[in-house]
Amino acid sequence: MGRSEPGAARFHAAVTALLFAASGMLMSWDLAELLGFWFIGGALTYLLLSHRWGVAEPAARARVALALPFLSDVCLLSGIAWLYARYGTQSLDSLLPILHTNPGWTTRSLVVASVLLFVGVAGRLALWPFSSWATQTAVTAPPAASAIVQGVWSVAGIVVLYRLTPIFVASNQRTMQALLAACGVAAVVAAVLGILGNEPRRAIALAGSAVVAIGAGVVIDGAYHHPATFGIAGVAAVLAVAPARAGALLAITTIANAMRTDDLADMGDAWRRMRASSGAVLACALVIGLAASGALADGVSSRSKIGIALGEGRAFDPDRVREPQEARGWPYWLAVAGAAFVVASLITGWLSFLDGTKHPAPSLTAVALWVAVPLIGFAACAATYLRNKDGALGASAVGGAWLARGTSLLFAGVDRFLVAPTTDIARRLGDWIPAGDGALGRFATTTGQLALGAARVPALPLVIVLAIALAVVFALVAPGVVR
Amino acid sequence: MTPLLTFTMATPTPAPPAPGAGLFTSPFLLSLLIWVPAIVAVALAFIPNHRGRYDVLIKQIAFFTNLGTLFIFFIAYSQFENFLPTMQYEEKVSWLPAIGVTYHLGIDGPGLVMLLLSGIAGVASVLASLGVRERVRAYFALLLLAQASVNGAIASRDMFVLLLFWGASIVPIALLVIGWGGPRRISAAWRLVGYWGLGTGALAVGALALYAAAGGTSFDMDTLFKATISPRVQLGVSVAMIIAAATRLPLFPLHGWARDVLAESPPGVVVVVATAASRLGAFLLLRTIIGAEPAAAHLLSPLLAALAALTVGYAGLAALRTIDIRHAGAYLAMVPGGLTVLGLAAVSPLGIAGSVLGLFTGGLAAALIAGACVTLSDRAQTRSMALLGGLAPRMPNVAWLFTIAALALLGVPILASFASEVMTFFGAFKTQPIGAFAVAAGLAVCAVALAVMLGRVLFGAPNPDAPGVSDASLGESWYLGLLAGALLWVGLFPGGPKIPGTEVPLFDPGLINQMSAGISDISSPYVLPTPAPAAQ
Repeated sequence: MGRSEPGAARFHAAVTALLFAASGMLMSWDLAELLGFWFIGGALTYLLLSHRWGVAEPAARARVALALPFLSDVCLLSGIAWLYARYGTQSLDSLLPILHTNPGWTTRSLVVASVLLFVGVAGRLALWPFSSWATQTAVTAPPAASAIVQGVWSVAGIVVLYRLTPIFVASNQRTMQALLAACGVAAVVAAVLGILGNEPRRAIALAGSAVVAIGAGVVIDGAYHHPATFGIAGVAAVLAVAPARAGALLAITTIANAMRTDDLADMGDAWRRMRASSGAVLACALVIGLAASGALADGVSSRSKIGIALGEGRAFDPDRVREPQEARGWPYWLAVAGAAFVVASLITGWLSFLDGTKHPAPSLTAVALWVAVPLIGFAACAATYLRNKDGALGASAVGGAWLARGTSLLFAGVDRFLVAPTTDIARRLGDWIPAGDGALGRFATTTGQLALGAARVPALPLVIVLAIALAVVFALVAPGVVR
Repeated sequence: MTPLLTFTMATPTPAPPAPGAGLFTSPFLLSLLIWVPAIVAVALAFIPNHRGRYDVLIKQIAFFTNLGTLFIFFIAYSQFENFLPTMQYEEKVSWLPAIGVTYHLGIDGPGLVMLLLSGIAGVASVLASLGVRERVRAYFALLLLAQASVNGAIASRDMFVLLLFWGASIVPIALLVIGWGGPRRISAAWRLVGYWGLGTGALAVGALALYAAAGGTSFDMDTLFKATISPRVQLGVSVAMIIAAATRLPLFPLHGWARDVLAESPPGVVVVVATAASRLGAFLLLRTIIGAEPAAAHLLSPLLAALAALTVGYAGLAALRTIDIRHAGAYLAMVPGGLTVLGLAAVSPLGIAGSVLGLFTGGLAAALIAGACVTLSDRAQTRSMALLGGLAPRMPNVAWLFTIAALALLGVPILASFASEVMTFFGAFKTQPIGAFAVAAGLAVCAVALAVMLGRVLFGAPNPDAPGVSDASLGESWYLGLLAGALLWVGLFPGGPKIPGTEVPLFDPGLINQMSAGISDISSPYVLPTPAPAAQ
C-alpha cells in the first residue's frame, strides 16, 4: 500500500489478522477449526481487497472477491459437514483411518465429499474458473494487499489440499482423474487467458494461478500414483511461486505507476530507466517459470515481463519515469526467497523435511528436462518480442478485447437468463404477497382495520360499552334465564 | 472448535459454580422479568408530561428498567444449573382451575437463551429510540409492554398463558409501527396484525387440539407434552404450530409482514421485532414439535427443511433485486430464521443445539442487519441504493457495524453466528442433506446480495447527487455496538472465559454451557443408536 493511501491502521490490522488466520489454517488438523480460520481469512481478504474506500472501480471489483470465493467456501463447509455427518468426527487424525471402515461408508459419499472439498479449496487457490476474484482485483486493490492475498492463499490452500488428498484417494479412480483433469484444464486455461490482454498484473495473477493449478495437480497425482513420492513436490512448487508472484506484482506496480499506464503496449524502456524494478520482475518471472516448470505458465509470465523490460518508450514522457527508492526492497527479497524455494524443491532433503518421508533423488536427466522447458519458453518469448514486439502486443490486445467481449456477453447472458428472471420473480413475489394474496390480504386488512378502530375508540365509551355487553351476557347466562 | 461440536448433551455434567453463586435468589424471578416492565409501562403511561417536559426522564426510566431487568436476568443466567434437564425458576399458581389453566412459568436452556436475547434487545431498543421526539411517554410505555409480553411468552409453561402473551405482543408492536413508523406505516401495521393474528389463531387451534387430545383437563405443558397422542393428532397440531411459527419467524411464504414492518418501523421497534419477538416462532417449533411430538417432527422435517431453503433462497434473491436498502435489510433479516429452522429440521442433537444457539445469534444478526440498514438510511436521508454510495469514509461507525452485520449473517468466525451455523449444518447434513445443500446455496446468493450492497453503498464512489450524510449518533452507535458486541462476546467465549489456569468461570459461565440444560431432554428421542465398531 502506498504511503499516501488512507487507512494505514486498518490495512495493517487486516494484514496481521490474515497472517494469523493463515497460520491457523496451516496448523489445523481439525476440519471445523480449519473452517473457522478459513472463513476469517476470507472475510479479511475481502476487507483488504476493498481497502480503497470511496473509489468506484475497486469497490465494484472487490464484490467478486466476496461473492465468488464465498461460494467455494460454502462448498468447503458443505464438504466438511457432509463428512462429519457420515463419520461423526472432524479431526483428520481420527477421520482418515476410518474412511473405508466406518459402518455405512459408501464410495458415493466420499466422491461427494471429495468434489465439495476440492471446489472449496480451488476457490481460494484462485484456480480457473474461480480466478476472477484475484485477476479482477489485481489492478484496483492496493498492490501490497493483492500481493499478500495471492501469496498467502496459495500457500494455505495448497497445504490444505495436500492434507485432504487422502480423502480424495479414498473415493475412487474416476474422481481422482476428474480432479486431476480439472487442475490440468485450470492450468492451461489460466495460462492461455494470461496471453490474451495487455494488463501485466492480470497476466501475473493468471500465470500464478496456472502454476498453482499445476502444483495442485502434482499433489493429487502424486497422492494417487506415488504416495509419499512426489505429491509434496506440488506443495514445494507453490511455496516457491508464492513469494515470486507477490514480488512480481509489487515490481510491476512500481513500473505501472511510474509509467502511469496498465497497458503493456504503452510501456517500455524500463530496463534503462527502472533497472531495479525490471530486474526484480525478470527474477520473479524466472522463479515463477522454474517453480513448476509448466511451459505454458512460463510462457505467459515471461512474455509479459520481458515486454516491459526490453521495450521502447511509448505514450509517456520518458524523463518523468524515475525509479523510487523502495524498488530495491521487497520485490528483490521476495524474488530471492522464491529462488531459494525453487532450488530447495529440487533437493530431496527439502521434500523429506516437508512431509517427513524419505524421498528418492530424481535423476539428473529429469531435472534438466524440467529446467529446460521454462528456459525454452523464455527464449521463445524473447525471440518473438525481439523480432516483432508490436505485432505480438497487438495480437495480444486483440485477443484481450475478444476475451473481454466474450466475458461480458457471457455475464450478460447469465444476468439476462438466470439472475434477472429469478430476482424479478422474487421482487414480484415480494410486492405481491403483502398486497394481493387474496384471502390472507383481506384478512390482514380487516383485522388491521379492526385493531386501528379499537385503538382510535375513546377509552371511556369503550369501557362503558364493554361493561354493558358483559352485563347482558351475565344476565343471559344467569340461572332462570336460559335453561 | 472441537469442544464446541462435541459438547455432550446426553449426559450433562455439573460445571463448577461461578463466583458469587447463590448471592441472590427469588421465587418470583421470572415474574419480575415479565411484570416489572409491564408495571413500569403502566406507570409511564400515567406520568404527566405536558409539552414533553419529562421526555428525558421517561427515556431514563425506560433505559434503567431494561438495564435492571437485564441485570436480574444475568443473575438468573449465572446461577442457572446447567446440568439439570428440568425446568428452573419455576412458578406455578392455579389460575382458572375449571379449565385447567395455571400461571406456570419456567425456563430451561433454550428459554434462557431467549430471555438473554430479549434482555439485550430491550436495552438496545431503548438506546435505538433515544432519538424519538414525539409522544415519548406512549412510545416507551408500548416498548416496555412489548418486551413484557415477549418475556411472558418465553417463560410460559402453560399453553393458555403462552397464547395470551403471544397474542398480547401483537398490540403494542402494531401500535408502535402505526404511531412512529415511516410513510407506509399503516399498511405495515395491518400486515403485522394480520399475519401475526393468523399465527395466533393457528396457535390457538393447535393448543386447543392438544388440550382436547390430552384429556381436556389441563393446559399445562408438562401435561400436554407428556400425554400419549395419536400420530394423526400430532400431525395436525404440528401443522398448526408450523403456521404459527412461520408467521412469526418469518418463513416463506408467510413472511408478508416482514418487509414492510422491518422497513417502516423506527430502529427501536426493528430491534424488538427482529430479535426475541420473531424468534418466538422457532422457539415454539422447538417446544411443541421437536420437544414434544417426535413422530410428527420426523414426518414433517422435510417440510421444515424445504421452508428453510425457500426462505433463505428467496431472501437472498429479493435482497439482490431491491434498490431500497431498508427492504434489502428486511429480506436479509429473514435468513437467520431459515438457518434456525434447518437445524430443527435436522432433528439431531447437534442440529437442535445449533438451532438453540441460532435463536440467540440469529436474532442478534437479524436485528443488526435490519437496524444497520434503517440507521444508515436515516443518516443518509435516502433509502434508494441508486443514490447511496461511498458512505464508508463519511460514516465509518455505521460502515463498520454494517460490515460486521454482513459478516455475522454469513457466519464468519469470531462472531457467534459461526458456531450456530456450523452446528446447524453439521447436524443437518446427516438427516436433511438436500435441504442443507439448498440452504447453503441460498446463503451463497445472500453473499452476492451483501457484496453488491457493501460495494455500492459503503465502499463505492460517493454520489454527488445524494443528500448530505452524517455518522451515527451516540445512541445509534451504542445500540448497534451492543448487538455486535454480544455476537462478538459469545463468538469469542462460547464456553465463557475462565480464570487462567483453572476451570472456574470468570464473569460468564458461557452460553454454550447454559443452553445445554434442557437440550438433552428435547433431543433425546433423536439420538441415533451408536454404530457397532467396525471390524478391523
